[in-house]
Amino acid sequence: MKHFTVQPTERERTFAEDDIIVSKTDLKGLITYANKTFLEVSGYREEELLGEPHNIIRHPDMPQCVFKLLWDTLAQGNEIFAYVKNMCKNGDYYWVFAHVTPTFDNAQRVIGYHSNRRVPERAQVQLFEEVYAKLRTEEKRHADWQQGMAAAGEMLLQMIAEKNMAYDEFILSV
Amino acid sequence: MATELVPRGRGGTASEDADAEWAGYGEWIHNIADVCEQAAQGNLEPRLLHCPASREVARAVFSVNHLLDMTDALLREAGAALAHAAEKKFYRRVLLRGMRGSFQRTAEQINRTSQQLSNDAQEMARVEASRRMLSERVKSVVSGLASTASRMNTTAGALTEMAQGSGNGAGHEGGKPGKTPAAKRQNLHQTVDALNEASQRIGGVVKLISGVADRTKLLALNATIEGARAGEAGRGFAVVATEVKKLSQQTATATGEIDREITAVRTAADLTAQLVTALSQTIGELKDVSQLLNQQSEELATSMNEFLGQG
Repeated sequence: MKHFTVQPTERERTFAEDDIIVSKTDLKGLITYANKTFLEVSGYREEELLGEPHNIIRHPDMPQCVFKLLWDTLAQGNEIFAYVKNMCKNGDYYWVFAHVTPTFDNAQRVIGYHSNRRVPERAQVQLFEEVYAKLRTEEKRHADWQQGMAAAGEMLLQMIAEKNMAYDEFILSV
Repeated sequence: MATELVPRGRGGTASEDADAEWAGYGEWIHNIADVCEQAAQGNLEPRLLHCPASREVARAVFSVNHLLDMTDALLREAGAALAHAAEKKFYRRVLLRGMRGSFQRTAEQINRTSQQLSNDAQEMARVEASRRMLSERVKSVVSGLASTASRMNTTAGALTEMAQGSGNGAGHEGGKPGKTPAAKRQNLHQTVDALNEASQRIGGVVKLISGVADRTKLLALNATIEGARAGEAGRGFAVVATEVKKLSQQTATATGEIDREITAVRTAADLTAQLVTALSQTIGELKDVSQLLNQQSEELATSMNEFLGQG
């Protein structure tokens, strides 16, 4: 759990527009595959990622409720899109537009998860920087972190409900 | 699963021993072949893990993984976009970013198809809505026509009854209550005919009276002349003759008035008969049109429902 000791920096990293970051995890969220772009952007070596929890790259600016929504959606067997701020090994950050899907075997059982990450537009990054800052504030307002996560999750769904859309439609429309 | 194909060795490090180096290559060629065979069988999950330090082997390993990642990405995207399109969620398109060459072209083709499906769905919805509206309008027009026809029929019935009522009052045989409108109209015609006949008979009597009055006038003139010739003795006779002449003039005036009245009654009766005939024809035609429209409206509604049921 090296990343807990790493201090976030204000340096942003990015990757090519026609490239994608790919990773796979098992059902517990432990990394089973990281592509070359993932290694290059995150600064980790393959051995440092394989078998580690995927939240090794989690940035402290990210609200917990986004990942709750992500795992809940996957648990239902559905795909999910999310704008995510990730943290490199050295504390730098990089924004991705993540598409996460369950991987099924031939018997239609979920055997793991797959994530393709693309470079987001600047406008989208700015929008979600603001949204996530609000959600983080809400989460920190509660003494109990689970209550905070639940309250921020409600807040997120409320923001989207005001636009008369479902989450997936909203996220693809911004 | 990605962990299925962990190579047996983490070899490939440059070895001073050429045999050992070749053995390392052989191992990676074996692993690459395994992953490619799995992919050819449709299993895109396995990847080559624990990339070796050897630059050439590492390049081969990354290339194979990259090819699998791109293929996998397009398959996941295409599957998701088409599954959503099938549920009319056309906002879910294949993400073009990160796609290159024929991966990108295929993705664009899928998105164009999805857009076309979306347009078609919108067009279908529009056509459906306008057909529904048209159907509703036809129904409302037909129902309005039917109610107008029904009201006209009622009015015609009332007119017939009124006409019969006047026929009875004139002392002719009239229709009994509860007869059909057609029978009532028949009675009205009979009444009008009888009225005409009576008028003609009255006219005959009036002519007779008129003739008598003329002759009386002539007689009165003769009486006046004869009275004058008789001198003083005939003076009283002349006074009576003058009175008779005045009476016959009054009779002629009265019969003239009666004649004009009778002509007016006959004209009015004829006009009524014509109007009633025309009205009953119009009502008959309207009923036919109304029935036809009702029938067509029902047919239209049925075919609309069939059409909508299929959609």
